[in-house]
Amino acid sequence: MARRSLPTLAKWAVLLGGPLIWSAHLGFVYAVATVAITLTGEAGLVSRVLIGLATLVCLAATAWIGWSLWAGRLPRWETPQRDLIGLWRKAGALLCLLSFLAVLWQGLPAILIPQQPASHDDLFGGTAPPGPRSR
Amino acid sequence: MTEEEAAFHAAAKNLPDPRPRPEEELKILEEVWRQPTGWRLPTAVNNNIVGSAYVGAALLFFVLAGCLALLMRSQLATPMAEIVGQETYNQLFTMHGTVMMFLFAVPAVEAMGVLLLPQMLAARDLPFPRLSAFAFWAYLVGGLVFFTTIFFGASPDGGWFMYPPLTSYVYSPGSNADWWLLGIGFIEISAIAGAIEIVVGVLKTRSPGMSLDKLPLFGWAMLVFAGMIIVGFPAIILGTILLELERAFHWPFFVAEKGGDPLLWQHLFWFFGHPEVYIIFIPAAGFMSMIVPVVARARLVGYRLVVAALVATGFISFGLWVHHMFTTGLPPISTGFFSAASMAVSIPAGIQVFAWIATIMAGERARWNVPTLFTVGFLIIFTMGGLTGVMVAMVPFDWQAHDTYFVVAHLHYVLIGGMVFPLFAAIYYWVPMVSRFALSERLGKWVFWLMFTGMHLTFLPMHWTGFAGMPRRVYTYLPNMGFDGFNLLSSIGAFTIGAGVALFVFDMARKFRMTQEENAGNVYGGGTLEWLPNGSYAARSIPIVKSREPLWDNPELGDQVEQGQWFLPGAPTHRRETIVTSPLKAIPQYLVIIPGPSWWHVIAAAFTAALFLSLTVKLTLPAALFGVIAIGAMLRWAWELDKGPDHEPVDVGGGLKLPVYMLGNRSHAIWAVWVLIVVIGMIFACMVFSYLYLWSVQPDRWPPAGTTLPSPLHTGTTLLLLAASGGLLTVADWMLTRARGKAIVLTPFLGALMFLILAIAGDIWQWSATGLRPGESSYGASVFTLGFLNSLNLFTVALMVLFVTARLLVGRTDPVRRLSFDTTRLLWLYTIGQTAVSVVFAHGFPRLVS
Repeated sequence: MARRSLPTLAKWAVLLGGPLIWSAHLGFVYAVATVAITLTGEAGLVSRVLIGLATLVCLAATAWIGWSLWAGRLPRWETPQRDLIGLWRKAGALLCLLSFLAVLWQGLPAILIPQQPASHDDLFGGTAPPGPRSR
Repeated sequence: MTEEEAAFHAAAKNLPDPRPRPEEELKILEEVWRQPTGWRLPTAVNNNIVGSAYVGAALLFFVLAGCLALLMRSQLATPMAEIVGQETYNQLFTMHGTVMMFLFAVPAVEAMGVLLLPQMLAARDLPFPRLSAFAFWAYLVGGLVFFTTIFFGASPDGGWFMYPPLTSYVYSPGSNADWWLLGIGFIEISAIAGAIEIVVGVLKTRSPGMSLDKLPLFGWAMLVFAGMIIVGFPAIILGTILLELERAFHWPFFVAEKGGDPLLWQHLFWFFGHPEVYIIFIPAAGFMSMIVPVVARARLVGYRLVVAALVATGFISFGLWVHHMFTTGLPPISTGFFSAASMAVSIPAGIQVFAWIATIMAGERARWNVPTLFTVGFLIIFTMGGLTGVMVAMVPFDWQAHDTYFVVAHLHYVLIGGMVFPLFAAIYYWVPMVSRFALSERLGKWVFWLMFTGMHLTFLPMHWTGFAGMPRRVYTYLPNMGFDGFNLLSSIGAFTIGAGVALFVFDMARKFRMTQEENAGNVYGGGTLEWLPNGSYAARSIPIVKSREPLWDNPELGDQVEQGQWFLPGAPTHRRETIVTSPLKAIPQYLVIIPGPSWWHVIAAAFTAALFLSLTVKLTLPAALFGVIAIGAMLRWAWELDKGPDHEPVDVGGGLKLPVYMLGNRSHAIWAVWVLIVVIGMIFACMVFSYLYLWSVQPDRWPPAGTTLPSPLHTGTTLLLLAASGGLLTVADWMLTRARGKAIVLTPFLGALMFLILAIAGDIWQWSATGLRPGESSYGASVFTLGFLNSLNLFTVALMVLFVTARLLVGRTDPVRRLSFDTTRLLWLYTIGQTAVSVVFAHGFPRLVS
């Protein structure tokens, strides 16, 4: 007996898998940094490790979905319709690639931006812009 | 293969059908789709009339806002000029930005969608034509009244972004800011109405066979555009609600000493405001992807890549809002996340630019007509704006350039390059579709060169003005500060643009003559369906689409369509109708009956505008009266809908029989309600964000000392009441399905409403009983706003319940004809869910963090 095909919404989720993961990643890293600063006054090691782990998980997920789409492993797509499936595969894979890059860049601040950056006055002299707020 | 697909493919073998059609068929079709004339013209709902009027109104606001810009440039042409005073200047730049963004840019592209999409999809019309017309009339009436405030010195003057505390009750006690908050708030409703129409239209009314891989890129662009409005506009709707609550009732969301934070407004505003830039760019990119292949005579290079780029832009643009706030002192790690996203968004924009360039290179020698000129102008200007965009995406650079004329230069390069030039290309390209004459090529080239040189003359020097340190939004400057020459050049450039626009208006007045049947036709040789022979009913018959440029691949298609050889060559139910197809593959599903001309949506729009405008000037009683009239007109408008399966399934051609009524998830009405639920859900989500944000700013005041929380017993009772409401609603649904008597359906139905009222009103009452007051702290204000949002949903559901009750009593709703009931039920279930989440959240979170 043939398996039931994916409902329309699930098919959209396959196409939009990469950007959806990117959105979740942005929301997560922003929330983790904010909560850490609210509770402890700084985005310390714990929050940075969490951000790093989330970044790795999201990178792995986008890579897996993107590669599956590129390789043509579309889940339960009932009627063969070459052009439509081609759109889903190629556009979906490219979206995953773009999302992969965006997630990677978004995770880098956890490594590259120190907790106490050099002050504006140290670097340039003169009047500094407004100091860090809690948010 | 499903039964639907099998039936469609069987019918497709019989089409085109070359046999002659009955003579009276075309007459009936014309009669059914005849447009009202004379004094009844405002009742018209045909997309070509509403769309053209919509575009015309948007261009009117473009000219008006442009005049404000010329006044500003006159003032800034020389140092210490005294053409306008400081206060007037504040109103001028606020109104220029507000009108350009809210009354020109978004409506213009939405209007182009209303005008072009049905033709491009070969639908007779979009599925909710009265909703489009409602959106247009509400926008026109509200927009014109809003604009007139400039003549009375009552215009908003806090900048188009309206930052508090400047715009709150302490520093802006007059009604100027209220004009912005209520006037724009209500224009947002108009935009959302249009977005719902576009989402459902693109996904459900495409020509049979036009699977998503064959959807014209303008269709994809409008789909992404509408999705972005649905996700982005709720943030500004909530923002305007919060600021108006603070202004009118002193609920301190943005007052720091009471636990609020002015930066909350910036988060909400820019979560909408930055995507807004892409909301207007993406349809413009859609124009380009349609026009470039035609002027280059080549198929678009990288269709799938461009689709992915549009979708990626739609998503990533929501991760950029903080780059407007780099100088507010946010933690460096947070700005880092958004700086990364700001750079990432340039990749999909770059993909599209390279796809267009590659298409031009792949084609024959491009013809240098006016659409081509505006297309190339767009590529140059937009790319320059994009490059300075990457510069300001870098935090250290932004610190230097923020609030200087460098940013003014950047945003105008992006907006004029990314939206105005494509729009002009589109107008020149598509005017022959709705006008007896095309616009003049000779004058058009003058228009282009005046606008192109004027654009650079105005905004290129502003990069240096900014580097020299001239801040934005100042009404004058001292001589000999290095600004004089640059400013004079910019002012000359602005008037050069103005001359170009004036010439364009002159050409429109000379050449544009609205018509459908005798239009100038496909003068540029486009390959998509909007260039099929047209009447007031759109295309005579609806073809099966087999490629992305069907007119290029089948030159006989136009004749076949005109002779009625494809689907739906007449009006078999003697009413306005179009084919609804499946969202991915465009397999025909049913025939939707489309409402025709009416006064009700016009009255509803006019009085909705009057309601908001009366509220602005604090005329409470007239506002209440206008609100009642507006709601009454809406209910009367809806009363005529949901006609049920009052006609046998119709043979639409090739032996394919389609029903004329559909329930469940295939129904376009159910889709519209789902889209509406996403909008309401986003408003709620933004409120939850605001609550959490305010907690994170001052966690020690959340809740303020001495606050008593409602007891767990109360929480449980509220949840039980909500469960009871849902249970009784399910019983009512069950009784209706089994065709029980009216009383047996109505008793649980109305009982369920009572439980919902008790749950929501009881929760608000319980918070009041604890002594919490919304005016005393941002915590109290946030809690009561959650209740306020639930109450708004309750109000809507209650109205719909009364409406459905009336329909049940007179027999207009029954077990078969029940779309009104189903849509009400869907919104109701969502309201129960939202209220439950808000109760658990508001009662539980303070306990969790304290």
